Order: sequence, then C-alpha cells, then structure tokens
Amino acid sequence: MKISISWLQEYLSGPILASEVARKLTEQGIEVEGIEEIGKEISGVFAAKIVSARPHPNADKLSLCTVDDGKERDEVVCGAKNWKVGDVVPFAKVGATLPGGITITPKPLKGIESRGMLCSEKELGLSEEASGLWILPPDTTPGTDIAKAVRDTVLVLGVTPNRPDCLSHIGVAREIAAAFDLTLKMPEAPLIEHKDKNEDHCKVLLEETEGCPRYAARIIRGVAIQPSPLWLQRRLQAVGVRAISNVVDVTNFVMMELGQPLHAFDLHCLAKQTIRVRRAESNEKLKTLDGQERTLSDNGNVDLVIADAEKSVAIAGVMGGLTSEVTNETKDILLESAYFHPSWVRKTAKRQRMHTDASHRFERGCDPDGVPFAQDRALSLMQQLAGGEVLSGRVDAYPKPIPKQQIALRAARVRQVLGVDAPQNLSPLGLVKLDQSEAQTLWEIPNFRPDLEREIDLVEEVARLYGIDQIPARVPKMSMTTEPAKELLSPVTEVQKLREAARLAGLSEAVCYAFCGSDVVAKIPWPEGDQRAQPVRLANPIADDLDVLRPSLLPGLLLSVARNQRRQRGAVRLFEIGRVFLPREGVAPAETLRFSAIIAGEEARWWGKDAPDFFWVKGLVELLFGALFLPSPSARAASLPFLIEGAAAMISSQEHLVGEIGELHPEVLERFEITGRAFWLSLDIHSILQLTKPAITFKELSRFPAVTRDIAMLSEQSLTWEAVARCIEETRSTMLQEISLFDLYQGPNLPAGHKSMALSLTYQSSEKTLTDEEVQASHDAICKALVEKLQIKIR
Amino acid sequence: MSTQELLSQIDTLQKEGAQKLLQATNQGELEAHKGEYIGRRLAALYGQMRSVPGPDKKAVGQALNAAKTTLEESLNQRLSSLKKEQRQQELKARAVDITLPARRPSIGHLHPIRQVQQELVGIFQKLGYSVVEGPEVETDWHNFEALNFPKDHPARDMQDTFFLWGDLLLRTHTSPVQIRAMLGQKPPVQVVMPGAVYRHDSDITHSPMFHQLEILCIDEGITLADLKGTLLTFVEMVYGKGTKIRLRPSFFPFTEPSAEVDVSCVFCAGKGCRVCKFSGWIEILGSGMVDPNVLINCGYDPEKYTGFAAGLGIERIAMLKYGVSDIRLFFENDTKFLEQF
Repeated sequence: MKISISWLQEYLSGPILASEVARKLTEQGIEVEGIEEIGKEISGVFAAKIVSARPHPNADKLSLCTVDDGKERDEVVCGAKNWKVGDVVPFAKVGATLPGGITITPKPLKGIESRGMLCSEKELGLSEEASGLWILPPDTTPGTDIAKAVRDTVLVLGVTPNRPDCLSHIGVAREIAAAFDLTLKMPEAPLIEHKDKNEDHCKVLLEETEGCPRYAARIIRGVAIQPSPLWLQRRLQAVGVRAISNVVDVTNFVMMELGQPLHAFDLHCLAKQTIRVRRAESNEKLKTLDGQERTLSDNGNVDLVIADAEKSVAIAGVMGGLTSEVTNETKDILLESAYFHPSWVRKTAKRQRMHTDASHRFERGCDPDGVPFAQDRALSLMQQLAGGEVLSGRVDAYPKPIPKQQIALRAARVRQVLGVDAPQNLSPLGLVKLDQSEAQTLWEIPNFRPDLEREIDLVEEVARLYGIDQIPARVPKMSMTTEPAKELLSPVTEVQKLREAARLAGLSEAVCYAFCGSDVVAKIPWPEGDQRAQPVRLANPIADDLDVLRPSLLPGLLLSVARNQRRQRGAVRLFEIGRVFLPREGVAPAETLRFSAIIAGEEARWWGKDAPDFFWVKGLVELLFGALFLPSPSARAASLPFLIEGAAAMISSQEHLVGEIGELHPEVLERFEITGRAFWLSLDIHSILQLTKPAITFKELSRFPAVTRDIAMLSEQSLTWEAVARCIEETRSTMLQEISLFDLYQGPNLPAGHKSMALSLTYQSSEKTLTDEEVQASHDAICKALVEKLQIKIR
Repeated sequence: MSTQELLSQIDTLQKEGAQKLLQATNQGELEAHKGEYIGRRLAALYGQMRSVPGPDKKAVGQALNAAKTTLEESLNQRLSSLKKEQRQQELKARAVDITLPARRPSIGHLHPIRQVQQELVGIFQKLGYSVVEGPEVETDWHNFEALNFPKDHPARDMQDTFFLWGDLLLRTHTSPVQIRAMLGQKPPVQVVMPGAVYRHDSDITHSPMFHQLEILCIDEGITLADLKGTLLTFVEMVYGKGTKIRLRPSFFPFTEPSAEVDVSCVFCAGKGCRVCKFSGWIEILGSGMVDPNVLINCGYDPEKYTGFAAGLGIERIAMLKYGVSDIRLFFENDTKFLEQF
C-alpha cells in the first residue's frame, strides 16, 4: 500500500514530517518497506500547449510540435502519437533535468534540432506509463511548474492482513493522529440533491445476504466524462493507480482515501435499472473489465455476482463487467457502495485467480458502517468534477445491521500479558469508552477494526500505543519440571555424533530438497514391491521436476554427485541426514530419518591412490556404529537392483534391519551421467537408536602369556570369511581369544577358482601359562574342523 | 727374549692395537683387529710368560693385563661408537619432509545450515529448552487451524502452501510442532523446535524448502518482558555482549501481541551499512505472546497460563553470518561451496 504524505496531511490537524511518520508507523507495527521521493529530480519542466504540429520531413514516425509554455514557443521533435493539437503536456525545456540525471540539451533528431522534450509519466518518474505523452487536464495553465505540482513523498507500507483499515489514507492518518496527538479531520461530502428519488429510478434486490450484508446504490445523472484535474491525477499517480476519467478516478480516489471500494455502472446498461445481488447461475459467464471471459460457477463453487434484471454485470467485490462499464458517452451512473463478506470475496478471487485493489480490501474486511459516507463522498467529488445531479435518498439494502462489538479490558490482564502497567487509552484509535471501573474498561469497537474481537486484541493495541520496545526485559524463571512428550524428543545428540564421525571420515554434508522429480525416482531400479518406487505426490509442485516427496536420499545425492562431476570437482563424498517419505494407505506418509552417503571417485595422492571400495563403506558403517558406542552390525548379501549383485548387502543388528550398503550399479550411474565407481550407504537412524547398547562387564586381565598360531589355508573362492570364522567359533575352544585374517590372496600361482587365506589365532588362559601341548591340541582341533567341514587345504 | 724386550713388545702391541681398534671404520675391520691384537698377538705374548724370569713375572704380568684392559676398552669404545654411527645412518633414512600432506582421507565439512542450526539449538538447550520435532507432512489443523489461521483467511496468503491430498500439506512453518508439544505434555512447556519447512516460493532469497527454529515457553506468569529478556540473552549468546534488540509490533495469527525482532547490525555495530540497508538494524526473528485461541486449542487455560513463541529462519542467519547472498547455493551441495564451512 502506497501512502502519499501530502495526501495524508489533508486529514491531520498539524504538520507531519515523512521521516517521523515512517518511524512512528514502524514502531506501531505498520512496516515501512520503502520511501519514494517524487519530483525531487525534476527541474525545468513546465506545462505547455501544443499549438501546431507538422510531420518531420526526414522521419515518418516523428512529428514536429510547436509548444507554448505561456512565455515562449519552441519547436520540439516528438515520437509519441497519443496527442492532438491543443493538448497541454509536460515540456522539458533546454536545461531541464529529469530522473536518472538526464539533462535536456538542444539535439538534432534526423536533421532537425529539438528544443527540448515532451514527456511521458514514466520519463518524469511518476508511473510506469510510457505508451505516450502525459496529457495534462485541458484546464492546466501553460507554464505550471510540473516539479512543484508533482512533488511528494510516498511511503510504501507492508500492511499485515489483520489491518484492512490501514489500506486507506484515513486509516493511516488515524494511526498517525494517535501517535502524535493530532486530531483526525474527516473529509466532507456536500451534495446538491435533485428532488427525484433514487428509489423511483433504481431497484436493489439483495438475494444473498450472507455474501452481501449491505448494498447501497445511488444515481448521479448527467455527468460529463472527461480527464480528471491535475490534483486528482497526481493523487492517483502517487499511489500507483492509473488515471482514466473523472468518474472512474473518483471511485479509485475514494477507495484510497477511505478504504471502501466503489463501482460505477452506466445506469442505462443495467436492464430495468435493477441490481440483483445473487449467486451465479450454473454455467453463467461474464466478460470482466480485463477482457477475460469468466465462468461464475462450477463444481458447486458459486461466485457472488451483481446482476441486472437479466444478466450478471460484475463479480461482487472483485471486478466489474465490460457491458456496464463507464465510457466517454456515459451520462447517468449508478454508484455501488457495498459490504461483501470477506471469505466470499476471497474464495471467488482465489478461484478466478484475480487479485484486485477491491478484492484485497473486501477479503480483509471493509467497514459496513462506512458504506453510505464513501458513496456520498464519491458523488460529491463527481458533482464537483463532472457536474450532474444526485438523486435524493439512498437505496440501502441492509436487512441485518452488523452490530459493533463491546469488549472489556481488564487492567490485570494487561499486566499478566505485557508484564507492565501500560496506559489503556484506546480512544485515539476510534474506540469508544462505554464504561470504566477500577478493574476494567468497556470499549465499543468501530466496525473498521474487524481485527479487534477479543480482550487480547485490545492488549495488543495497548502494547502498540505504549511502544512494544519500551517493555523491560526480564529472563523467565521456569519451574524446571518441563517434560516433553517422548515421541517428540529429537535425537539431536546422537545425530550430531553421526554427523561428526562422517565429517572426520572425510565426508561432507549435503542438504537436498525433500522433493524431487518422479522421473528421477523412476530412473532408479528399486526392488520388486519396494515402496520407494511409489513416491508421495504433491498436488501443486513448484516445478515438474520437483513433483514428489523423496522416498530415499538416493536421488538427491545422485543429482548432487552428478552436478559436482559436471563442475569437475573430483572425488565426491557426500552424506545427508534427512527425512524420507513413504506412502501409507489413507494416512499421512511415514517419515523416517536416514543417514545416507555416496562415495564417488578416487583421489590420487602422493602416497598412492585413495580408492574407496565396498570395504571402505563397510568400515564407515562400523565407524558410525562406533560413534554411537554400538557394536559393529552384520552385513548379509542382498539383491538390490540399483546395486551391483554380489557387492550389495543389508545391514542388520540385534535382529533388526537397519540399512543397506553396496556399489551402485553402473547403469544407474550412467542414467545420472556419473562417471567412475560409486558406493552407497543408507541407514535408518531411528532403528539404530532403538538398538540396545551392550552392558559393559569388566573381565579380569590375564597375567599369563598369549600364544599365537597361524593357519594358511587354500579354499574354493566361494568360501566366505563368515563361514570360516563361524567354523572356528563352533569348536568352542576356551583358550582361543582372537581370530584375525591377515592375508587374502587370489590370483596366479593358485589353482583356478581358489583363494588363499592366512589367519592368526591367539590363545590365552586367564588361569595359567598354556603349555605347547595344550595350545597344539586346541589348534589341531580347529584345523581339523576347517578341513573336514569346509573342505579346505592347510598349506 | 729379555724381559726388557718383552715389555717393549707389550707396550708396542698395546699402543698399536689400541690405535688400530679405535680407527676401525666398520664392524668387520674391528673384528679383524680384535682377532689380530687380542686373539693372536696378545695371547702369544701371554705365552711368553713361562720364560720370564721369576722376579720379572709380576711386572710383565701387570703389563700384559694393562695391555689387555686397554685393548678391550678400545674395542668396546669403538664398538659402541660404530653402533652409534650405524644407528645414526639408519635414522637419517627415516627423516621425512614433515610438511608433506597428512596420509588420511581429507576431513569433510558440515553443511552451513546444520552448523548454524546446531549452534542455535545448543544455545537454547543451555537455556533449559528441550529439543522436539514433528512431522513435515502436517494436517491443515496442526499447521493452520490450531494456530488460529481461520479457513479462507488472507493470513494464509502469507504462507503459500504445498498440498498433498485430503487435508495434508507440507508444513509451512515449525509452529505446528508447538501444537504437538502442547498436546503432548502439561505445562510448563519449554521447547526448541528446529526443522525443514516448505513454501511455494522460489527466488534468490526464497527457497521452496528452508529451515526454521522456533521456541515455545509456557507457564504461569510468563509475560512479554520474559520474551524480551530471553531474546536479548539469545542474541548476546549468538552475536556477543552489547548486541541490542528492537521489537516492532507485527501480525502472526498464532501470537498476540506479535512482534518482529531486529538486532543491532553486527556488521557495522548499528552505524549503518549495506547489509542493514543503512538502518542499523537487521530483522531476524518473529515472536509474540501465544494467542489465547492457540492455548485453548491445546487444552490449556489461557487465564492461568501465558507464554511466548519466537522463530527464525536458519538460512537467513547463515546468509548473514557467512555473507552468502543466494539461498539456492545451500541446496546445490557443490563441494567447493561446502569446503568453505
């Protein structure tokens, strides 16, 4: 909302300064987003009459205009087309300055010297209107200093949706009056009324009283449609509204002045001079002022319309129709001033995707009590500017007047919420004190403040007037018994440990969008029946490639790796801790917190290659478990189509499946245009946090020496380490303390399909020094078991 | 051989042998000299003892023992110095260019959003707040209705919403967690709620997904003054002692009164600079006293309990802190970007 300081001044009993107004409005909660100085950069621009014109001899598109500024005549080259001889226009004389630091010098254009420049509104920095010259009202005196006429300061306000009253100059003036202890001066609306009565010349049928509680119509006859005078054009320009003609401009002026949207109908375009406020009929259509054809009802959504005896002529509170528009030929006008229900207007505006100055105000709540005055104020201005006779009386359909609320404000409540005893005088805001006792004051709320519904709303008004920044600071004394619901408690501490461990292991943390493209999800071959293949859809995605909630962190990480590779970032090792979303029938998707990582690319280093492989990633899993003081989980071979068969595993611990790891399938990588090898790790954080940490029981340290025996064994390649370890453990040797694999060889010098493993077994007793014979007996038993059960050869 | 001659030979052997032994350049040579002088020649001279006349025996014996001691000392001295030289040689080979890069995976980097989030959460934990979380897919009731956003109210336009189906949507703020926290426990409530939120908006300063952190404090006797004190403590912990705050009235449906909170510009100490647009203040927080309707919706008696809530955008804080001007950089995960944090 733009507010002109010079306009605002008209409603205040004392002088105001733009900078002070801006500061005070901000302190009172009406944010000033910008301050614009208009006309500050203009000098040497005067109103001038185009007295004659001739075509430019060397250019078809240019004209030569002789202009008279009251003192002298100059010939100017002009490229615009919207003027005629006799028009008064802004003329920047030689030596004039324009916004942007432009200085006008005599300049030859296509061979003819131009002694100055005729200006558009845009060239003067007044509006975005650049399609032609700014045609000044015909009664503008040549020689009028344009800079003086337009000079103003405009505040750009960010009015919060609870304050519709501040979408008008009067509303803002009321705030300023309260802040600076000034008196608010309401404008006047003197009318010369004709003896003919409105009720004899028009009819209002209010058929939908919920959508439209109040509808007032008044007729003005015999107006002369013409351009508005300069003062009115300036007012509208300053607040960003385009001037059209006196009658239309007045309706816009009053909306910006009082906040009440008005609509002027050409009376003779209304069949039977009848207004029906009704619900749209099925499949009813209307061409609105913006030239669009609108369907006014569909699928049970029905717009509120203003209709005449035959057809709809406007969408109530949003926009008028083309057929009843005021044109240059219009003589008689029916002026609508109404109060439409906020949520009706809002529904319609949303459905029709129209956001107009009128709908903006109606959907926030206008003042039902302001309807007649706004109407009269506009008619009064029309009479001044366009002549005409206003019929007496008013057709005012207001079957159920909206009562003013009464709210009691307790002093104790003010203290309870604000922590201070702030003065409680709300009269400057237009509230009326009905009753007062020691403990409380009863206030009547004007209907232009629909946001004041409860006592707490008045506490806020007290705080605003007192100055919310004046309230002292105090640190709360809490009773320390606060106990949040268990299911809401965040595992921040554990998550931070995982994050730190991953960082130290060389991974960097990614944060991806929680939505991704369904096409991207579909590029990944999920296992049969895996829910990840059916991601949850958004009804209104922001882009086609962000249309589903991520079912896994994999798509986002793959895209991130690909992006890094395109930017030649070398090895990419990324992890992310984030939520994934899986569909559930009939209820909200399941959200689970996962830790996932992609390790892609190798790094050549001075000591050799740092080339991750499956075991690098397996080690990372153990590291992460270690960071949480959990024992290493186990890996089970798994078949996951997006991982390489034989290099993929499910991770489980204490009988719970907690994740998956493996090498990403080259076909998947190719689909994402990722080169080289890449490894995947994904863990379900909540499942991991459910695991029991093993209780620590201290075992006495053995004082006796340990004996180490090695086994070198040749086996089929398919024999797993797990089988070997299990076979050894099953011999239940009580002396055996530790098994370790210290060499693994597969390659030449071995029979095809075989491998060689070298194990080191450590024997120790806590009770005595083991003899060679005791160790040998145990070791032999183990070797025997290996040979017999696993068909290996001891070498 | 006369005794005189013998003593002279012993003396010569002692001197020559000691010199040879001490001058041996390696262990092999030392061994050879040992064999020559101690093993063979000294032993031979000991063999002469038998033919030394009685009275001279003592003197010769002493001379021989002295020679033996000298030779053995020389041998040991050289042996240990040779060992020392050899160790030194060996250790020389172990010297390294200690400025070479370390041998380990390069340490990774934590995402700036997470670092800031962790720092802010940590501060509120110190102030006694428990960290709670709620779902990111919310119901209209939790995200809007319970927070006093009526249906078809323009306040909803402040938060462009992503919808799923039915009344499900992506939460537009962390405030629905307030509702869940209040429903899940009895007062007093003191919780901090970080998390991802979603709005249908995208440009250089708006991302369709971003992160918020919100606090809620409810008890008997909590006032706007407590809110102010808490926020002042918070900004001093983030930006240092002496940082000032300024409260401006504003509007949020779920708080009343509501206030935007500015901090004195940390870049120019309030003097005015580009970051604060020459105002001396930077807007970082939205806050207010919990609206009685919200308390009622959660079954709390608004006449007995009052409370405050405050929230901030984590990306905004991170952008200010690190001077990042394009919010989209946070979600590209370019390692060159991440490496800077």
